[in-house]
Amino acid sequence: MAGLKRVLAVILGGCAAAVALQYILSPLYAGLGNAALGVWYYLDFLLAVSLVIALVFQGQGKRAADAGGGEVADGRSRRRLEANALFYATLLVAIWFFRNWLDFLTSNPLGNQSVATLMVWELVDGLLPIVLGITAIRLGRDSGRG
Amino acid sequence: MAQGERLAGVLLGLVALAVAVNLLAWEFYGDITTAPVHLVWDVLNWFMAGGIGIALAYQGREKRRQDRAGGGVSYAYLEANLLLLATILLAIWFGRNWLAGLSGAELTERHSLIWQLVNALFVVTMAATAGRLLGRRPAVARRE
Repeated sequence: MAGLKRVLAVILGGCAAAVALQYILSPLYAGLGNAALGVWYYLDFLLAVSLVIALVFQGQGKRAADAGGGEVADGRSRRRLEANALFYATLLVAIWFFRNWLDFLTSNPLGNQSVATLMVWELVDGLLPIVLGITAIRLGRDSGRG
Repeated sequence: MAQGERLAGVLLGLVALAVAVNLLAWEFYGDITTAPVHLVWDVLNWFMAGGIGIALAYQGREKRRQDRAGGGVSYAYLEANLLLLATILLAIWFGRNWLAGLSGAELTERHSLIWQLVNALFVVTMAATAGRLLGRRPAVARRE
C-alpha cells in the first residue's frame, strides 16, 4: 500500500508541476499554431485521472478525520479542517474541470469555447497545481508512515 | 535577521501601495491607448515579481514554523496557511500573464480578467505579509 501511495504521489506531483508549467509557459509558444492546444488536449486526460485519484484519497482522509473528531483546541482539529477543506476544494475544481473538459472535447473546431468557459479554465488551471500538489505531498507523507 | 525582515517588509509595503495607487489612478490617466499606463505596469511588474518571491520565501518559513509547533486550529495557523496558498495562486496567475505580456502574445479578455484578480490579490497578500515582516507576526500556537 505504501508503495502504491508513493507511485500515486509521484504521478500527482508530476501532473501538478506539468499543469503549472504548461499554464505559465504556454504564452511563450502561442505563435506555434495549435501547439499549446495539443499539449492541453493530452494533459487534460492525465488531469482527469489525477483528479479522480485525488478525490478518492481525500475522501478516505476526510472520513478518517471526521471519525477521529477533534474540536478547536484539539490537535486533531487541524487534520480535520485540512482534510475537509482540501476535499471540498478539489471537488469544486473537479466539477469545473469535468464540465469544461467535456465542453472542450465536444467543441467544433476543437478549443472553440465560450468566453465564460475560458474564464473558468483560468480559475481551474490556477487551482489545479495547488490541490494536486498538496494531495501529492500528503500521499508521499502517508507512504512514508507505511 | 530582524533588520532584513524589516527592510523586506518596507519594500513589500511600498510595492503593494504602488500597485494599489496605480490600479485606482489609471482611470484618471486619460486615453489608455496613448497614456503611459502600460509603461508603469511594465516597470511595476518586475517589482511585483520580486515581491512575490520574497513573500513566498517568508510565508513558506512561517507555515513550517506553525506546522512544527502543532496544537489546534489557531488564528496564526489559519493565517499562515491561507496566506501561503493565496500567494501561490497569485504567483501562478501572475507568472502566466506576465510572461504572456513579455512574449508579446495577443492579450485577450482572459488576460484582463486575470490582471484584475492578480492586482487586487497582490495588494491584499503583500500588505498582510508586510505587516507580519514589520513585527506584527502572530505567535506560534501553544500546544494544548
